[in-house]
Amino acid sequence: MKNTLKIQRAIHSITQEELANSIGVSRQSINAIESGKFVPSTILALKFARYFNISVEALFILEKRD
Amino acid sequence: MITHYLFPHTYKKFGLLLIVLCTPLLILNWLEVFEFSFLIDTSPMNNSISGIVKNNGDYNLEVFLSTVLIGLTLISFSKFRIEDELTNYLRSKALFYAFTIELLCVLFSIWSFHGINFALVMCYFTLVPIILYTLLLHFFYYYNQFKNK
Repeated sequence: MKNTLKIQRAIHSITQEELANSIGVSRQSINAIESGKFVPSTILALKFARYFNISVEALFILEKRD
Repeated sequence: MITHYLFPHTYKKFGLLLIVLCTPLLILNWLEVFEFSFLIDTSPMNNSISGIVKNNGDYNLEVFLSTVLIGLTLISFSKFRIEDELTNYLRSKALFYAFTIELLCVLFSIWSFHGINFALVMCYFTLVPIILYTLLLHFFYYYNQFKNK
């Protein structure tokens, strides 16, 4: 599963630290999610979607191997 | 996130303090160059079970080891500054590796020190965690199935 978290962050001009503080997770978690090393739960995915005001599908995209 | 089973973050410092204080004492005691005299029971030994179990009345090693273990427990079971999904995932991962490595170490140490003659001891040591794992896994699995019928 890939995600557009980094792109959304760039669009909204916010740092990993700022996003982490807004969502209530560590900066390391944001980094791990962005690099695809960690897949967040539905709750966290919904929090990201609500923060960026987009759908979860626009933020997290399933790949063929998923 | 379920974190109520964890100690507050500040407990990590207490744990670290206990380890820093007691590890040198533990090593010195193990090298037989240091001991607290008040931890040595000088009363005469009796033939009761507790009397036999006593390690010559010297409790230095037990006290230092227990303190280090308490310190380690405080460190490992207290919250990080930010406790989130990633830390929960890393906790599970660390626990899994610790369980596997411990099992392999026990098996290897018994096998290398005592050989195949101690296969029964190896089985006991191996069986306890595997039985617990199997029971807990199936309990959680079927309990979950039963609850979500």
